[in-house]
Amino acid sequence: MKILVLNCGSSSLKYQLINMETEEVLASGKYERIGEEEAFITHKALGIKKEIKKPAYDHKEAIEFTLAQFTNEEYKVIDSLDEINAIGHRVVHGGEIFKSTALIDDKVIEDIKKCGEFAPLHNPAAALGMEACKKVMPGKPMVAVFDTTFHQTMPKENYIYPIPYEYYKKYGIRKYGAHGTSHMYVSQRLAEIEGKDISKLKIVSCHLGQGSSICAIKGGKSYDTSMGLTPLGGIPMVTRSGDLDPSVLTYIMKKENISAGEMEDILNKKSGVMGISGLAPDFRVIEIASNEGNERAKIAIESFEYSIASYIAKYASLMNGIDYIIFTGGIGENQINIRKGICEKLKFMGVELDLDENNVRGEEKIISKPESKITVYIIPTNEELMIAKETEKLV
Amino acid sequence: MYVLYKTGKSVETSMGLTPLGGIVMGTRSGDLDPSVVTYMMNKENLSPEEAENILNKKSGAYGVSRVSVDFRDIEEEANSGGHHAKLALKIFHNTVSSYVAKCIVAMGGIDVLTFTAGVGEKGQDSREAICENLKIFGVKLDKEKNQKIKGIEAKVSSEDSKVPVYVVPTNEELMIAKETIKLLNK
Repeated sequence: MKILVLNCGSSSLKYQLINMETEEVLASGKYERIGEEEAFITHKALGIKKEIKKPAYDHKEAIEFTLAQFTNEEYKVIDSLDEINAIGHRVVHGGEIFKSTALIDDKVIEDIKKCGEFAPLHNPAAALGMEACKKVMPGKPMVAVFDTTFHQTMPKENYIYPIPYEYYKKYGIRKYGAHGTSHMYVSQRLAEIEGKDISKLKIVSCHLGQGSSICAIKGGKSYDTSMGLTPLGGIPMVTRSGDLDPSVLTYIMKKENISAGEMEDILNKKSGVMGISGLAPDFRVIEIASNEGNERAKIAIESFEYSIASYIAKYASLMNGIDYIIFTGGIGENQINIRKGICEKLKFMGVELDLDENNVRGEEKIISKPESKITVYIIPTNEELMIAKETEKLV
Repeated sequence: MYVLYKTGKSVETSMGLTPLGGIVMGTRSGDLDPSVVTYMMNKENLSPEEAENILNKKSGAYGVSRVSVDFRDIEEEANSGGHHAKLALKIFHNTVSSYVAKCIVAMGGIDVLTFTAGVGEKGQDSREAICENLKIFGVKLDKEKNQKIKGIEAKVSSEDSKVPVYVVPTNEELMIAKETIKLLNK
């Protein structure tokens, strides 16, 4: 079976064509600046990387041109589009409507648009991608895989906010979480590597990247997670603040005379470790500055590590113990010192990192010492493969 | 609700810029995903002052339970089966134990856990639920003894608890008087 995985942004389209028998990526790439004259595609297949300028005025045109690449004689990976058995769409927000992966029909597309309230940049784009696919490949089975559905198993006390309850009833204000596909993939992959029954495991998964979230996974199900109503909540991130004393917001809004929208923008784009350090929104730059003695960069890194360690300890308390800690995502997979900093703060819980084993980037492996009470893993995430697997399951 | 020290000095505390931050309180929300605040403001067309007011006076255990601003009423309602009251207490207990876990990380361990103030001194069931969440860190309550302790200074952990747990009624006035004398005698 061959599955096309699509991740549609408002002006971009990321894709992978995956052969499910071998889990091999046959082709992958990204269409950027959709809607503009300068639109271009970066396509990879058979070891060839092509950048082609091709105007695409909407998602339909971008998808048509993308599909044509798969059968392009120069780097052909399939003979005809009939070989694609199904399409898996990544969707950021499934609200409370979607408790699991969904086979796409008109009603599902409408519901995805409805959930767009909480992901105004992403959900409408995903819906556009689905509608475009329907036109370009009519009748092809399509599946929506949501970032939020994995967290729909959280018990109520972990997703209700301590604000007037009617805001949950009226507006659906609650914790939804994010990165669900990634947390699901790494936890299932861990059980597979260990040859253990996931229903008996207690795992804390740390997806650390431009956006970061921590997830408590009990018996293979999300029990609690750090991101909240939107991906702004939880731990401080590269440019996002994470959870705050709410009076910080109201105080700044009054002082700077800014609207709720402007405040949101500042907390999403100018806060986090970038805000504290005053440096570029690049984690590597901030880490280097911190190592060179930049005081604010040090505080930023320390606050990032402390916050993650605190979440791990919190989840250890809520699940009454942890068997495994997983690091994934750009920072989790590649930043050696960050993993070290976090694990050092968890020594009191019996976490013993093996500094030599930890000295790697992007490898799937155990990085704790054999005597560590909690086994620590790096597991590179693979959301596309997870989406493809979920799609395969449904069609 | 609790204060933790390292070498007698505060290294971490839950309240923030103002007493609105930190754990869930009687009527205050504690820390939130900031987008909860902005979303609420947009939907209800609230000014920062109005949002602050709601988060200070109509949130927390009261906001969830819609029972009362008094913890004792919420506990009573929970004991007679009120779902919202139960939920509110559970959220409260979980955030308190989570903050304790966070403070343990901040200090790299913990020697003593103390409970004080209204709920800390007189909320036996809350102490039990919070300590239940902290089992993994070696906290073990003497449940029988804990039930008997209400507003008096006492140890409530069991003999084999790795972390001794105390109830210590607060006395801010005495502390202020002591600090005052210290400065006058200088």
